Amino acid sequence: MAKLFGKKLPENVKTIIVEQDDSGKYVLKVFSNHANILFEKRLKLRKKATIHGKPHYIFEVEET
Amino acid sequence: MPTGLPDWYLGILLHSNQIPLKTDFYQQTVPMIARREWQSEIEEYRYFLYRGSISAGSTVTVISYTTGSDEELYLTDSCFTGLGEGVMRILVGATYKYIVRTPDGRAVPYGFTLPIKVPASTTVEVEVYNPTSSSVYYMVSLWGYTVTV
Repeated sequence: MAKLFGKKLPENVKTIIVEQDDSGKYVLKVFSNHANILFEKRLKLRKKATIHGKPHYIFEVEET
Repeated sequence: MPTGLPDWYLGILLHSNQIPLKTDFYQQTVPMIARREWQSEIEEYRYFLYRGSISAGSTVTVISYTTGSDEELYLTDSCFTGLGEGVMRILVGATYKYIVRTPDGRAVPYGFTLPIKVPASTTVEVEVYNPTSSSVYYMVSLWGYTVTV
């Protein structure tokens, strides 16, 4: 089973979109094809590391 | 369409210098369909898209996809663009496979002549680095197909 940011995905996932909405929040949208959305979840940034004094972030799926 | 399509096809290996220029694959008794076209036709594809801003001097892993234990992912095309300078990197496991920089946000579309293979149970990550001193909006498109193993 495939995973995105460590979270299990349904078998029929085809398209994965990570985008910032108008309010500035990051959203994950997962589609089974070009039109059918399977689910939508909020994402938050988590600090992963500091490289040469600069931050490296990764997204984390917010549980609702 | 990016140049450099792979010269391998389902079941039959052909090189461009071995086929006449006007060959119509679809008129042949056994039609030959390019692998990426076939995988799209049977809906075994993956599209990854990112659009959003990244703060000054930061790197963000915008996609982190781990293949299933029974699937291989072959990344065939990518595009990176934004409203300012940026760097996009693709890692498979712990290895960088592709790095591109846009100096001013101009789009960098690229078709991988040799698709980037992501083996089963392996993570592919897309990192975007903002080297500027202000927040920049970026867009990443990455797509390919999967094969059940």
